[in-house]
Amino acid sequence: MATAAPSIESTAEVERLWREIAVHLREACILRRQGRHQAAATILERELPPLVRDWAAESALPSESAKARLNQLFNDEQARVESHWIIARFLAQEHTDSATRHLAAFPVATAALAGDVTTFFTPAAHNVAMLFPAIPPRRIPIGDVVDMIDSARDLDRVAAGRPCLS
Amino acid sequence: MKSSNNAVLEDTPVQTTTETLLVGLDLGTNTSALLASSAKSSDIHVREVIPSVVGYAKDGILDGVLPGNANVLFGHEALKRKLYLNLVRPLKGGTIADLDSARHFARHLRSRLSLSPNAELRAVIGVPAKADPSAREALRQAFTGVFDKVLFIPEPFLAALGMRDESRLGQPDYADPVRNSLFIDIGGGSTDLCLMRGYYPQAEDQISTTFAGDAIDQMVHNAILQTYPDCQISLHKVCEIKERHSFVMSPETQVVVDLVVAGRTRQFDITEQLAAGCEALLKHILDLSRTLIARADPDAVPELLQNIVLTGGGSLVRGLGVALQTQLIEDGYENPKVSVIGPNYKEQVARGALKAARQAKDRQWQTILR
Repeated sequence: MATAAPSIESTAEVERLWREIAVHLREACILRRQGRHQAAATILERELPPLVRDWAAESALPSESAKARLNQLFNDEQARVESHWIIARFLAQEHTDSATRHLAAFPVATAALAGDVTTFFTPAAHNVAMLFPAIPPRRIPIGDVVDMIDSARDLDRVAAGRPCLS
Repeated sequence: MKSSNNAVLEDTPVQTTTETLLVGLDLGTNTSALLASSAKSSDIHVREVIPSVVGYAKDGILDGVLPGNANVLFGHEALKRKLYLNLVRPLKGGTIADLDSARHFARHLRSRLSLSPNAELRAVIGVPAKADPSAREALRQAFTGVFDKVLFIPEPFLAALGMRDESRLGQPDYADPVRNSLFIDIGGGSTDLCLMRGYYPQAEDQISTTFAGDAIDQMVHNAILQTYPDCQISLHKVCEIKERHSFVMSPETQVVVDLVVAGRTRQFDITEQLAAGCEALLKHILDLSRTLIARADPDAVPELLQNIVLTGGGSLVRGLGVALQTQLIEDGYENPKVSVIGPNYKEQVARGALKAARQAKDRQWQTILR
């Protein structure tokens, strides 16, 4: 049976809704990565369902096809966030390593200078902790419990806004 | 600097106590595990697994209905008398969702430790790896005034410590479980997969989904109500049924349960609904396993595939380990081996926490100030 071709307006609306769904999914993936599960759940449970309903109604796709497209979108967005996350972490790590190297290169720095450098680089370390709270930015062998506890405490201080390089 | 009325400060006071009791605590969404031991002995004095639930007496409860006319009950006691209580779960998705009940629960946990008056309590408490600063602050607030000294340590670290048997390292027949393995921890609020590569797991070693025990309960609940709209069934009841009958692949027998319809008990076959929830879990962990295996060093993959470990409450779904192994083989992975930790999983993080407590230096302990 022939079906009526979708109007230009309805195609544009379908595309708009699809983009909205993608943005919301991406945000939810990022929030989950940041450990903000409640905010992610709010998007997934409250904001996304009406968009999906509207999109499904506008697109008039068969239910199975619609589900498959949504699943694919979710997988793609999750993979994209994961990939960016690793890059962001790598760059943040480079930043803090660079700060450490600079500090080590000037062992006779005055207390005032050291204070300035600490202040300057603290935001970088802070960003690392915000991205990956509770995950040490370096490899600690399993078994080295004392080092692991120190590392966890440093990150805890950073995450709570306390200075970490002092 | 952010001010806080219960800031964590380093503390090195002069000790006047006579005994130090070390505590390892895993505060879980559904279940919490508590282990305690004297600092001077390796014997475990307290070993408890307690449902993370607080029950507040409903208004107008008659005298004698609740033991000791208690206003609040915890864990198994609360679940046993749930008809007379408003049940509150302090945690959701691994983090504190209700601070008041979390405080009450924390104090209840402390009450489970038999203490001499001068004993000092030092507790290592697991924190979800992805807990944000506000979640960590909530945890601190819940435990303010509960223990003398604390350390909050990420759970993957503690799980890694807990599952390792240091006394057997170096023995030819002992495969170090954290050297090169994939851990799949299926909890109530989240399913966490983690590559263990000999060092403490980092962000790229881990992947999580909120599809876990609670999501299965919800899915099965919806499916039952869709098939049998007249029956009355709570999420809690679904959880009980799941814990007793859950399966993947094929059931041992049909799952037929008693449910209430308009006050009368009738039997319902919910095999299909339960299967759908458990199969969905299998699909999730299979997809995430593929993702993490792809991140591993290719040279390490053959050994990694030999050490896939299922843990957490969801790992007790009958046949899940075999089904995952079968699916991986069908996917073309070479000779994978999936093992299931079993009911002892509940103590894993707490065991690691107690090990960490034994090794922590005095300078590392913190005091939570009111």
